[in-house]
Amino acid sequence: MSQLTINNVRIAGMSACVPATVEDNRTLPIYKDESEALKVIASTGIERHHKVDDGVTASDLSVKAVEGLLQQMGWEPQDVDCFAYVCTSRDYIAPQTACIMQDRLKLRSDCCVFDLPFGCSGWVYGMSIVASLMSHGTFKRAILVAAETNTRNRNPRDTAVRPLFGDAATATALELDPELARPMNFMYGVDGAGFDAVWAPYGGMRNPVTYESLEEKEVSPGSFRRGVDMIVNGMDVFGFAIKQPPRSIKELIATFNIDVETVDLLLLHQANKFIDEKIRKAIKIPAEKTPYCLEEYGNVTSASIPLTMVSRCREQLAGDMKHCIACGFGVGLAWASMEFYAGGVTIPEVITY
Amino acid sequence: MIETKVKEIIARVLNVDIALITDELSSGEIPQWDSVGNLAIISTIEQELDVEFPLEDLFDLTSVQSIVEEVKSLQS
Repeated sequence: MSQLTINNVRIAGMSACVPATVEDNRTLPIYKDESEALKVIASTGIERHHKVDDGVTASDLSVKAVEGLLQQMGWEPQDVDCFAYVCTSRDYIAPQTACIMQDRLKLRSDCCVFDLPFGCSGWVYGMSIVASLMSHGTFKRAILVAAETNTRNRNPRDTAVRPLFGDAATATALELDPELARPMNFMYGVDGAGFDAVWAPYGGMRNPVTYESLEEKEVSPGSFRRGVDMIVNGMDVFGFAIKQPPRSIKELIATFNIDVETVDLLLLHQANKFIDEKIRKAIKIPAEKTPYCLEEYGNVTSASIPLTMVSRCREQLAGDMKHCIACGFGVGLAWASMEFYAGGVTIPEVITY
Repeated sequence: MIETKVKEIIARVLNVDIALITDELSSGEIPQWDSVGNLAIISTIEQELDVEFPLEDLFDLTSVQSIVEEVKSLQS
Protein backbone atom coordinates (compact mmCIF):
# COMPACT_ATOMS: atom_id res chain seq x y z
CA MET A 1 0.00 0.00 0.00
CA SER A 2 1.59 3.30 -1.08
CA GLN A 3 1.02 5.98 1.49
CA LEU A 4 2.63 9.31 2.18
CA THR A 5 2.67 11.89 4.97
CA ILE A 6 3.86 15.44 4.29
CA ASN A 7 4.58 17.97 7.02
CA ASN A 8 5.07 21.73 7.16
CA VAL A 9 3.06 22.67 4.05
CA ARG A 10 -0.34 24.34 4.10
CA ILE A 11 -2.91 25.57 1.61
CA ALA A 12 -2.63 29.36 1.71
CA GLY A 13 -5.00 30.28 -1.10
CA MET A 14 -7.26 28.93 -3.83
CA SER A 15 -9.02 30.34 -6.88
CA ALA A 16 -11.06 29.21 -9.87
CA CYS A 17 -11.86 30.57 -13.30
CA VAL A 18 -14.70 29.34 -15.51
CA PRO A 19 -15.76 30.41 -19.00
CA ALA A 20 -18.75 32.76 -19.23
CA THR A 21 -20.65 30.58 -21.71
CA VAL A 22 -23.07 28.15 -20.06
CA GLU A 23 -24.70 25.13 -21.70
CA ASP A 24 -27.90 24.03 -20.01
CA ASN A 25 -28.60 20.32 -20.33
CA ARG A 26 -32.33 20.99 -20.71
CA THR A 27 -31.80 22.72 -24.03
CA LEU A 28 -29.02 20.64 -25.57
CA PRO A 29 -29.76 19.83 -29.24
CA ILE A 30 -28.74 16.19 -28.73
CA TYR A 31 -32.04 15.37 -27.01
CA LYS A 32 -35.35 14.70 -28.70
CA ASP A 33 -37.21 16.49 -25.94
CA GLU A 34 -36.72 17.94 -22.46
CA SER A 35 -37.82 14.71 -20.75
CA GLU A 36 -34.69 12.98 -22.06
CA ALA A 37 -32.56 15.76 -20.61
CA LEU A 38 -34.36 15.66 -17.28
CA LYS A 39 -33.65 11.94 -17.03
CA VAL A 40 -29.93 12.57 -17.40
CA ILE A 41 -30.06 15.42 -14.89
CA ALA A 42 -31.93 13.23 -12.40
CA SER A 43 -29.46 10.38 -12.66
CA THR A 44 -26.26 12.47 -12.62
CA GLY A 45 -27.14 15.67 -10.74
CA ILE A 46 -25.54 17.71 -13.54
CA GLU A 47 -27.79 20.51 -14.80
CA ARG A 48 -25.36 22.64 -16.79
CA HIS A 49 -21.70 23.31 -17.42
CA HIS A 50 -19.44 26.13 -18.52
CA LYS A 51 -17.83 25.90 -21.93
CA VAL A 52 -14.90 27.73 -23.49
CA ASP A 53 -15.33 29.61 -26.76
CA ASP A 54 -13.30 28.59 -29.80
CA GLY A 55 -9.64 29.41 -29.38
CA VAL A 56 -9.66 29.53 -25.58
CA THR A 57 -7.46 26.96 -23.86
CA ALA A 58 -7.17 25.62 -20.34
CA SER A 59 -4.01 27.69 -19.94
CA ASP A 60 -5.96 30.88 -20.74
CA LEU A 61 -8.39 30.11 -17.92
CA SER A 62 -5.45 29.20 -15.70
CA VAL A 63 -3.67 32.52 -16.22
CA LYS A 64 -6.80 34.31 -15.01
CA ALA A 65 -7.12 31.97 -12.02
CA VAL A 66 -3.47 32.39 -11.00
CA GLU A 67 -3.38 36.15 -11.52
CA GLY A 68 -6.58 36.57 -9.49
CA LEU A 69 -5.16 34.44 -6.72
CA LEU A 70 -1.77 36.17 -6.58
CA GLN A 71 -3.47 39.54 -6.48
CA GLN A 72 -5.82 38.57 -3.66
CA MET A 73 -2.98 37.06 -1.65
CA GLY A 74 -0.55 39.85 -2.22
CA TRP A 75 2.02 37.45 -3.68
CA GLU A 76 4.25 38.60 -6.53
CA PRO A 77 4.93 36.16 -9.40
CA GLN A 78 8.59 36.39 -8.40
CA ASP A 79 7.71 34.85 -5.02
CA VAL A 80 6.73 31.51 -6.58
CA ASP A 81 9.42 28.81 -6.31
CA CYS A 82 7.46 25.97 -7.90
CA PHE A 83 4.64 25.86 -10.46
CA ALA A 84 2.82 22.64 -11.42
CA TYR A 85 0.26 22.40 -14.19
CA VAL A 86 -2.19 19.48 -13.91
CA CYS A 87 -3.96 19.19 -17.25
CA THR A 88 -4.46 16.77 -20.12
CA SER A 89 -5.76 19.36 -22.60
CA ARG A 90 -2.34 20.97 -23.00
CA ASP A 91 -1.65 23.81 -25.45
CA TYR A 92 0.83 21.85 -27.58
CA ILE A 93 2.23 18.34 -27.77
CA ALA A 94 5.57 20.03 -26.99
CA PRO A 95 6.67 21.94 -25.04
CA GLN A 96 4.94 21.31 -21.76
CA THR A 97 2.47 24.06 -20.96
CA ALA A 98 4.09 24.92 -17.61
CA CYS A 99 7.07 26.39 -19.50
CA ILE A 100 4.82 28.72 -21.45
CA MET A 101 2.97 29.61 -18.26
CA GLN A 102 6.27 30.68 -16.66
CA ASP A 103 6.53 33.42 -19.26
CA ARG A 104 2.84 34.37 -19.28
CA LEU A 105 2.70 34.62 -15.48
CA LYS A 106 6.14 36.29 -15.24
CA LEU A 107 7.43 33.63 -12.88
CA ARG A 108 11.18 33.58 -12.16
CA SER A 109 13.42 31.90 -14.69
CA ASP A 110 14.76 29.62 -11.94
CA CYS A 111 11.24 28.57 -10.90
CA CYS A 112 10.72 24.79 -10.86
CA VAL A 113 7.91 24.19 -13.39
CA PHE A 114 6.36 21.02 -14.77
CA ASP A 115 3.21 19.53 -16.26
CA LEU A 116 1.33 16.68 -14.61
CA PRO A 117 -0.95 15.10 -17.22
CA PHE A 118 -3.44 13.62 -14.78
CA GLY A 119 -7.20 13.46 -15.12
CA CYS A 120 -9.72 13.32 -12.30
CA SER A 121 -7.25 12.26 -9.60
CA GLY A 122 -4.91 15.10 -10.60
CA TRP A 123 -5.49 17.64 -7.85
CA VAL A 124 -4.84 15.11 -5.09
CA TYR A 125 -1.81 13.68 -6.92
CA GLY A 126 -0.57 17.19 -7.65
CA MET A 127 -0.96 18.25 -4.02
CA SER A 128 1.16 15.31 -2.90
CA ILE A 129 3.88 15.96 -5.49
CA VAL A 130 4.17 19.72 -4.97
CA ALA A 131 3.82 19.58 -1.18
CA SER A 132 6.39 16.79 -1.07
CA LEU A 133 8.90 18.90 -3.01
CA MET A 134 8.23 21.82 -0.67
CA SER A 135 8.65 19.72 2.44
CA HIS A 136 12.38 19.47 1.65
CA GLY A 137 12.54 23.07 2.85
CA THR A 138 13.87 25.21 0.03
CA PHE A 139 10.67 25.92 -1.91
CA LYS A 140 8.69 28.36 0.21
CA ARG A 141 5.78 29.12 -2.11
CA ALA A 142 4.19 27.10 -4.90
CA ILE A 143 1.21 27.24 -7.24
CA LEU A 144 -0.62 24.10 -8.30
CA VAL A 145 -2.96 24.55 -11.27
CA ALA A 146 -5.63 21.94 -12.03
CA ALA A 147 -7.40 22.82 -15.25
CA GLU A 148 -9.22 21.18 -18.12
CA THR A 149 -11.19 22.09 -21.22
CA ASN A 150 -13.19 18.90 -21.52
CA THR A 151 -15.56 20.34 -24.10
CA ARG A 152 -12.65 20.64 -26.57
CA ASN A 153 -11.56 17.00 -26.60
CA ARG A 154 -14.99 15.40 -26.49
CA ASN A 155 -17.37 15.31 -29.42
CA PRO A 156 -20.36 17.67 -28.98
CA ARG A 157 -22.50 15.06 -30.76
CA ASP A 158 -21.50 12.32 -28.31
CA THR A 159 -24.67 12.04 -26.24
CA ALA A 160 -22.88 10.07 -23.53
CA VAL A 161 -20.46 12.86 -22.63
CA ARG A 162 -21.76 16.27 -23.72
CA PRO A 163 -24.17 16.76 -20.79
CA LEU A 164 -21.60 15.65 -18.22
CA PHE A 165 -18.34 17.53 -18.77
CA GLY A 166 -17.39 21.18 -18.39
CA ASP A 167 -14.37 23.47 -18.46
CA ALA A 168 -12.61 25.16 -15.55
CA ALA A 169 -9.23 26.11 -14.16
CA THR A 170 -8.21 26.27 -10.52
CA ALA A 171 -5.11 27.46 -8.72
CA THR A 172 -3.97 26.35 -5.28
CA ALA A 173 -1.29 28.32 -3.45
CA LEU A 174 0.88 26.26 -1.12
CA GLU A 175 3.17 27.70 1.50
CA LEU A 176 5.91 26.22 3.65
CA ASP A 177 4.68 27.10 7.12
CA PRO A 178 5.89 24.81 9.94
CA GLU A 179 3.91 26.82 12.51
CA LEU A 180 0.45 26.64 10.96
CA ALA A 181 0.69 23.54 8.76
CA ARG A 182 -0.67 20.19 9.86
CA PRO A 183 0.25 16.86 8.27
CA MET A 184 -1.23 15.90 4.92
CA ASN A 185 -1.78 12.18 4.41
CA PHE A 186 -2.15 10.44 1.07
CA MET A 187 -3.08 7.04 -0.37
CA TYR A 188 -2.81 6.10 -4.05
CA GLY A 189 -4.29 3.57 -6.43
CA VAL A 190 -4.11 2.64 -10.09
CA ASP A 191 -5.57 0.03 -12.45
CA GLY A 192 -3.85 0.44 -15.80
CA ALA A 193 -5.75 -2.53 -17.23
CA GLY A 194 -8.74 -0.17 -17.29
CA PHE A 195 -6.92 2.48 -19.36
CA ASP A 196 -9.54 2.29 -22.10
CA ALA A 197 -12.44 3.11 -19.78
CA VAL A 198 -11.71 6.79 -20.43
CA TRP A 199 -9.36 7.47 -23.33
CA ALA A 200 -8.68 9.10 -26.65
CA PRO A 201 -7.48 6.32 -28.96
CA TYR A 202 -5.90 8.53 -31.65
CA GLY A 203 -3.58 11.51 -31.49
CA GLY A 204 -0.72 10.04 -29.47
CA MET A 205 2.31 8.03 -30.57
CA ARG A 206 0.55 4.64 -30.35
CA ASN A 207 -2.12 5.65 -32.86
CA PRO A 208 -1.11 8.89 -34.60
CA VAL A 209 -3.73 11.10 -36.21
CA THR A 210 -4.91 9.74 -39.57
CA TYR A 211 -7.49 10.98 -42.03
CA GLU A 212 -9.78 8.21 -40.84
CA SER A 213 -9.38 9.21 -37.19
CA LEU A 214 -10.79 12.64 -38.05
CA GLU A 215 -13.95 11.23 -39.60
CA GLU A 216 -17.05 11.40 -37.44
CA LYS A 217 -18.87 8.08 -37.09
CA GLU A 218 -22.18 7.11 -35.52
CA VAL A 219 -21.14 4.97 -32.54
CA SER A 220 -24.66 4.37 -31.24
CA PRO A 221 -28.02 5.63 -32.48
CA GLY A 222 -27.83 9.42 -32.62
CA SER A 223 -24.36 9.59 -31.03
CA PHE A 224 -21.24 10.52 -32.98
CA ARG A 225 -17.52 10.46 -32.35
CA ARG A 226 -14.14 10.72 -34.10
CA GLY A 227 -11.08 8.59 -33.37
CA VAL A 228 -9.34 11.55 -31.78
CA ASP A 229 -12.26 12.29 -29.44
CA MET A 230 -12.29 11.20 -25.82
CA ILE A 231 -14.30 8.03 -25.17
CA VAL A 232 -15.99 7.45 -21.84
CA ASN A 233 -17.11 3.84 -21.43
CA GLY A 234 -19.81 4.59 -18.92
CA MET A 235 -20.44 1.09 -17.56
CA ASP A 236 -16.70 0.52 -16.97
CA VAL A 237 -16.42 3.86 -15.20
CA PHE A 238 -19.53 3.12 -13.17
CA GLY A 239 -18.12 -0.22 -12.02
CA PHE A 240 -14.84 1.46 -11.09
CA ALA A 241 -16.42 4.44 -9.34
CA ILE A 242 -18.55 2.37 -7.01
CA LYS A 243 -15.65 0.12 -6.07
CA GLN A 244 -12.27 1.88 -5.78
CA PRO A 245 -13.01 5.35 -4.33
CA PRO A 246 -14.90 4.10 -1.25
CA ARG A 247 -12.25 1.42 -0.73
CA SER A 248 -9.50 4.04 -1.01
CA ILE A 249 -11.16 6.40 1.48
CA LYS A 250 -11.73 3.54 3.91
CA GLU A 251 -8.05 2.59 3.60
CA LEU A 252 -7.06 6.22 4.24
CA ILE A 253 -9.27 6.32 7.34
CA ALA A 254 -7.89 3.04 8.66
CA THR A 255 -4.23 3.73 7.84
CA PHE A 256 -4.13 7.17 9.41
CA ASN A 257 -6.57 6.42 12.25
CA ILE A 258 -8.97 9.13 11.18
CA ASP A 259 -11.98 9.70 13.40
CA VAL A 260 -14.71 10.36 10.82
CA GLU A 261 -16.71 12.22 13.48
CA THR A 262 -14.09 14.98 13.32
CA VAL A 263 -14.21 15.37 9.55
CA ASP A 264 -15.68 18.72 8.50
CA LEU A 265 -15.61 18.28 4.73
CA LEU A 266 -15.72 15.26 2.42
CA LEU A 267 -14.55 16.52 -0.97
CA LEU A 268 -15.33 14.03 -3.71
CA HIS A 269 -14.52 14.19 -7.39
CA GLN A 270 -17.64 15.64 -8.98
CA ALA A 271 -18.61 13.09 -11.61
CA ASN A 272 -22.02 11.86 -10.55
CA LYS A 273 -24.06 12.87 -7.53
CA PHE A 274 -25.85 9.55 -7.24
CA ILE A 275 -22.55 7.66 -7.01
CA ASP A 276 -20.96 10.28 -4.75
CA GLU A 277 -23.91 10.04 -2.39
CA LYS A 278 -23.49 6.26 -2.23
CA ILE A 279 -19.82 6.79 -1.38
CA ARG A 280 -20.68 9.40 1.26
CA LYS A 281 -23.16 7.05 2.95
CA ALA A 282 -20.65 4.19 2.86
CA ILE A 283 -18.11 6.44 4.64
CA LYS A 284 -20.82 7.61 7.06
CA ILE A 285 -20.27 11.34 6.56
CA PRO A 286 -23.35 13.60 6.97
CA ALA A 287 -24.79 15.19 3.84
CA GLU A 288 -24.14 18.73 5.08
CA LYS A 289 -20.41 17.98 5.18
CA THR A 290 -20.29 16.89 1.55
CA PRO A 291 -20.49 19.85 -0.82
CA TYR A 292 -21.32 19.59 -4.52
CA CYS A 293 -20.78 21.94 -7.44
CA LEU A 294 -21.44 19.50 -10.27
CA GLU A 295 -24.99 20.75 -10.79
CA GLU A 296 -23.53 24.08 -11.94
CA TYR A 297 -20.19 23.12 -13.48
CA GLY A 298 -20.51 19.44 -14.47
CA ASN A 299 -17.50 17.15 -14.30
CA VAL A 300 -14.41 19.33 -14.67
CA THR A 301 -12.03 16.40 -14.07
CA SER A 302 -8.89 17.45 -12.13
CA ALA A 303 -10.41 20.85 -11.31
CA SER A 304 -13.51 19.40 -9.69
CA ILE A 305 -12.31 19.14 -6.07
CA PRO A 306 -10.66 22.57 -5.90
CA LEU A 307 -13.61 24.14 -7.77
CA THR A 308 -15.92 22.66 -5.14
CA MET A 309 -13.76 24.19 -2.42
CA VAL A 310 -13.68 27.61 -4.07
CA SER A 311 -17.31 27.79 -5.12
CA ARG A 312 -18.96 26.05 -2.17
CA CYS A 313 -16.61 26.26 0.84
CA ARG A 314 -15.12 29.71 0.50
CA GLU A 315 -16.30 31.08 3.84
CA GLN A 316 -15.71 27.83 5.72
CA LEU A 317 -12.12 27.54 4.52
CA ALA A 318 -11.40 31.20 5.24
CA GLY A 319 -12.25 30.61 8.90
CA ASP A 320 -10.93 28.15 11.48
CA MET A 321 -9.00 25.04 10.52
CA LYS A 322 -11.23 22.45 8.86
CA HIS A 323 -10.50 18.73 8.80
CA CYS A 324 -10.93 17.48 5.24
CA ILE A 325 -10.89 14.26 3.26
CA ALA A 326 -10.65 14.42 -0.54
CA CYS A 327 -10.79 11.66 -3.14
CA GLY A 328 -10.12 12.07 -6.85
CA PHE A 329 -10.80 9.18 -9.21
CA GLY A 330 -11.13 8.55 -12.93
CA VAL A 331 -9.03 8.42 -16.09
CA GLY A 332 -6.09 6.06 -15.77
CA LEU A 333 -7.76 4.37 -14.14
CA ALA A 334 -6.20 6.21 -11.23
CA TRP A 335 -7.38 7.39 -7.86
CA ALA A 336 -5.93 9.10 -4.81
CA SER A 337 -7.27 10.01 -1.38
CA MET A 338 -6.02 12.65 0.97
CA GLU A 339 -6.52 13.85 4.53
CA PHE A 340 -5.64 17.46 5.21
CA TYR A 341 -6.50 20.53 7.25
CA ALA A 342 -7.32 23.91 5.76
CA GLY A 343 -8.11 27.20 7.43
CA GLY A 344 -7.41 30.87 6.93
CA VAL A 345 -7.34 30.19 3.19
CA THR A 346 -7.53 33.21 0.89
CA ILE A 347 -10.16 32.50 -1.74
CA PRO A 348 -11.46 35.07 -4.22
CA GLU A 349 -14.93 34.53 -5.70
CA VAL A 350 -15.07 32.36 -8.82
CA ILE A 351 -13.59 34.35 -11.71
CA THR A 352 -15.34 34.43 -15.07
CA TYR A 353 -13.34 34.36 -18.30
CA MET B 1 -46.04 -7.60 -8.24
CA ILE B 2 -42.56 -6.19 -7.61
CA GLU B 3 -41.46 -7.70 -10.88
CA THR B 4 -44.21 -5.85 -12.74
CA LYS B 5 -43.43 -2.56 -11.03
CA VAL B 6 -39.70 -2.87 -11.76
CA LYS B 7 -40.37 -3.65 -15.41
CA GLU B 8 -42.76 -0.72 -15.70
CA ILE B 9 -40.17 1.63 -14.26
CA ILE B 10 -37.41 0.32 -16.52
CA ALA B 11 -39.61 0.68 -19.61
CA ARG B 12 -40.68 4.20 -18.61
CA VAL B 13 -37.18 5.36 -17.74
CA LEU B 14 -35.69 3.98 -20.95
CA ASN B 15 -38.72 5.10 -22.97
CA VAL B 16 -39.19 1.70 -24.63
CA ASP B 17 -42.08 -0.73 -25.03
CA ILE B 18 -42.58 -2.82 -21.91
CA ALA B 19 -42.63 -5.93 -24.11
CA LEU B 20 -38.88 -5.43 -24.54
CA ILE B 21 -38.29 -5.69 -20.81
CA THR B 22 -37.85 -9.43 -20.41
CA ASP B 23 -36.40 -11.13 -17.33
CA GLU B 24 -33.18 -11.80 -19.22
CA LEU B 25 -32.65 -8.27 -20.52
CA SER B 26 -29.50 -6.58 -19.25
CA SER B 27 -27.63 -3.33 -19.80
CA GLY B 28 -26.00 -2.89 -23.18
CA GLU B 29 -28.48 -5.18 -24.94
CA ILE B 30 -30.58 -2.23 -26.06
CA PRO B 31 -28.98 1.16 -26.80
CA GLN B 32 -31.19 2.99 -24.31
CA TRP B 33 -29.81 0.92 -21.43
CA ASP B 34 -26.39 2.52 -21.26
CA SER B 35 -24.58 3.72 -18.12
CA VAL B 36 -26.73 6.83 -17.75
CA GLY B 37 -29.83 4.70 -18.38
CA ASN B 38 -28.65 2.25 -15.74
CA LEU B 39 -28.21 5.01 -13.17
CA ALA B 40 -31.61 6.45 -14.10
CA ILE B 41 -33.20 3.03 -13.54
CA ILE B 42 -31.53 2.48 -10.19
CA SER B 43 -32.21 5.98 -8.86
CA THR B 44 -35.86 5.92 -10.01
CA ILE B 45 -36.47 2.53 -8.43
CA GLU B 46 -34.94 3.79 -5.17
CA GLN B 47 -37.29 6.77 -5.17
CA GLU B 48 -40.47 5.06 -6.30
CA LEU B 49 -40.15 1.76 -4.43
CA ASP B 50 -38.57 3.32 -1.33
CA VAL B 51 -35.48 1.13 -1.23
CA GLU B 52 -31.80 1.98 -0.82
CA PHE B 53 -29.41 -0.19 -2.80
CA PRO B 54 -26.16 -0.75 -0.89
CA LEU B 55 -23.05 0.54 -2.66
CA GLU B 56 -21.48 -2.91 -2.81
CA ASP B 57 -24.51 -4.33 -4.64
CA LEU B 58 -24.72 -1.66 -7.36
CA PHE B 59 -22.17 -3.40 -9.56
CA ASP B 60 -24.46 -6.39 -9.99
CA LEU B 61 -27.64 -4.42 -10.70
CA THR B 62 -27.37 -4.49 -14.47
CA SER B 63 -30.20 -6.83 -15.48
CA VAL B 64 -33.94 -6.97 -14.98
CA GLN B 65 -33.65 -10.17 -12.99
CA SER B 66 -30.90 -8.92 -10.68
CA ILE B 67 -32.78 -5.70 -9.95
CA VAL B 68 -36.02 -7.54 -9.22
CA GLU B 69 -34.24 -9.94 -6.87
CA GLU B 70 -32.46 -7.10 -5.08
CA VAL B 71 -35.68 -5.14 -4.55
CA LYS B 72 -37.42 -8.26 -3.23
CA SER B 73 -34.55 -8.89 -0.86
CA LEU B 74 -34.54 -5.29 0.43
CA GLN B 75 -38.29 -5.23 0.92
CA SER B 76 -38.51 -8.57 2.71
